[in-house]
Amino acid sequence: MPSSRHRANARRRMFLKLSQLIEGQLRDAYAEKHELSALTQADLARKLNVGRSAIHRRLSGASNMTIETIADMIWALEKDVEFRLVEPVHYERAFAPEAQPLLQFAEALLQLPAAPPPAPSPPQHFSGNTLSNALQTVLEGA
Amino acid sequence: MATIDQAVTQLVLEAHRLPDWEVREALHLFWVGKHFWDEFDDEPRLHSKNYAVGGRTLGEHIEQTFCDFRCSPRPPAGELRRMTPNSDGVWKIHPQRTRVFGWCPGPRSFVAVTLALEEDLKAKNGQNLYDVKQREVLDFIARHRLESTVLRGDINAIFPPPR
Repeated sequence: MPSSRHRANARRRMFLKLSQLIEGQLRDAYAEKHELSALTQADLARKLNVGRSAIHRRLSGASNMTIETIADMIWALEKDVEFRLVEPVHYERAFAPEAQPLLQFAEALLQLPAAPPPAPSPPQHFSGNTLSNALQTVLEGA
Repeated sequence: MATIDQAVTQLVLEAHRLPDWEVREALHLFWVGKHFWDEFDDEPRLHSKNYAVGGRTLGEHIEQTFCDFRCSPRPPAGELRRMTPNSDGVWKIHPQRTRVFGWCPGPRSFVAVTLALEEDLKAKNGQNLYDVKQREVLDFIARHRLESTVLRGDINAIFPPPR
């Protein structure tokens, strides 16, 4: 039986997608400034006149932020926002056109004779979403 | 001694698949132990609205945390913490009100073996659940002969600072 994580309906997936998009970008924007020692959660709290724990809750996903709160966070992080709705794309990521060369590569790999295992050195920048999903799909079908 | 690739081939580990709602590309590697998702499915509190935080179930938070670990360019994503003793190389990730235990088989990568709810970890029932979970990770590594894949070191070994 597939895991429950694959059974979320489209409405729920939309919420997960949007919340991840917003919170992920807020976290990255905060981390970017924090790394430069330009900002702390306490600074953000002072700027917005809220407690530091409120900032932590917003950045960690512990609160379901209103549009006003999101706007406050974006403003306090000195960022701007771009938002648009698009037509949905109905295809599995692993079968997306950009994944086809990777799928063919994975298929070719499966046909090669067994080679000694490579040294365990994961790539630094790995387009894992497309490639790992594609490989996983091919392996499951093999 | 086995490698991560061999463990995947033997179905001991499974490569984490990003859900279709995650629009970012993966930057980091992530695997889960073969029983992880069973444990995830079988814990009703992870899927109960009574335990929801920020409009999401704890299970959904775990999924989002995994995605963030994989896709965020910033290391703090996922709140990765090393467990003591440091020499064991066991790490935990902190999603909302849960903890995911595993190890790092290389820079910017993680293997999730087991999980626990924060309330269970804090419960005083005579047994330290942190120790139990840590032992579970170490047993998993030993049982599948994956000792050579354990990356030792602190957070700078897992997320090397940019040069």
